[in-house]
Amino acid sequence: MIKLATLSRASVYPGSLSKRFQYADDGERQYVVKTAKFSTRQKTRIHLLSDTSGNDYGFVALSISSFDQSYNRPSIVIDYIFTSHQYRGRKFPELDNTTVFEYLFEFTLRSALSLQEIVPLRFIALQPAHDRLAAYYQRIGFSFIDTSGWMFMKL
Amino acid sequence: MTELFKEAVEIYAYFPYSDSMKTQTIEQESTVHSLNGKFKLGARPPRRLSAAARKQLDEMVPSVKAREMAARFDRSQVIRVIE
Repeated sequence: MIKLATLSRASVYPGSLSKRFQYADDGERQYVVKTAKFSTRQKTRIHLLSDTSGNDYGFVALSISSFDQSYNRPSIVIDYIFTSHQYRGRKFPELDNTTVFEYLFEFTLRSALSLQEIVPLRFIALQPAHDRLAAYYQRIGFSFIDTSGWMFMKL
Repeated sequence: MTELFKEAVEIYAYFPYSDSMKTQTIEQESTVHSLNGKFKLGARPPRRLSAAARKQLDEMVPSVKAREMAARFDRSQVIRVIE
């Protein structure tokens, strides 16, 4: 059975977390280690997708930020979405035939909308790494609003 | 499965490259190129916005597509725990 676990600060060990996954290159591993370190400093929260057999599929790291200081716009920030190399592009029946990436992204959207019912959260923010991802996010509803490289979507 | 997701199948990871990693990544992945060279893990959204950017934000409407995607997420499919 696949489970999504929200990792507490105390449960994240950057070295051991990075060993759970396979990577296309060492740069990816370094990003996972960095994300874990951010998590231990309470700068982001990691939601880990794994199964009861000990396989780890990937994670999404989320945080809260308020941008546009004058107007105070609270938002969820997608810090990092990562899928372990061997599971990329694969659909899982247990996840309603979605990929790990799709599942984690849907989880993020659902979480943001749920949180918005409790607190005045207004946006989801992210920095796409390249044009293909930017185009994908634009089709969902994210927009660039300036040249900062950040994209926003109103909740 | 929507067309949108079909296109996204090969998109496996979103991650903001730091400046130090950018060059290496571009060399390794021809389809990847930086939008502005300022990506940095742990970066925060801009604290100051121009009037034009602010206007664009104010005119944004919630995404129907995103709400559809969120609605697909079935919480009962997974056990969500805090470890």
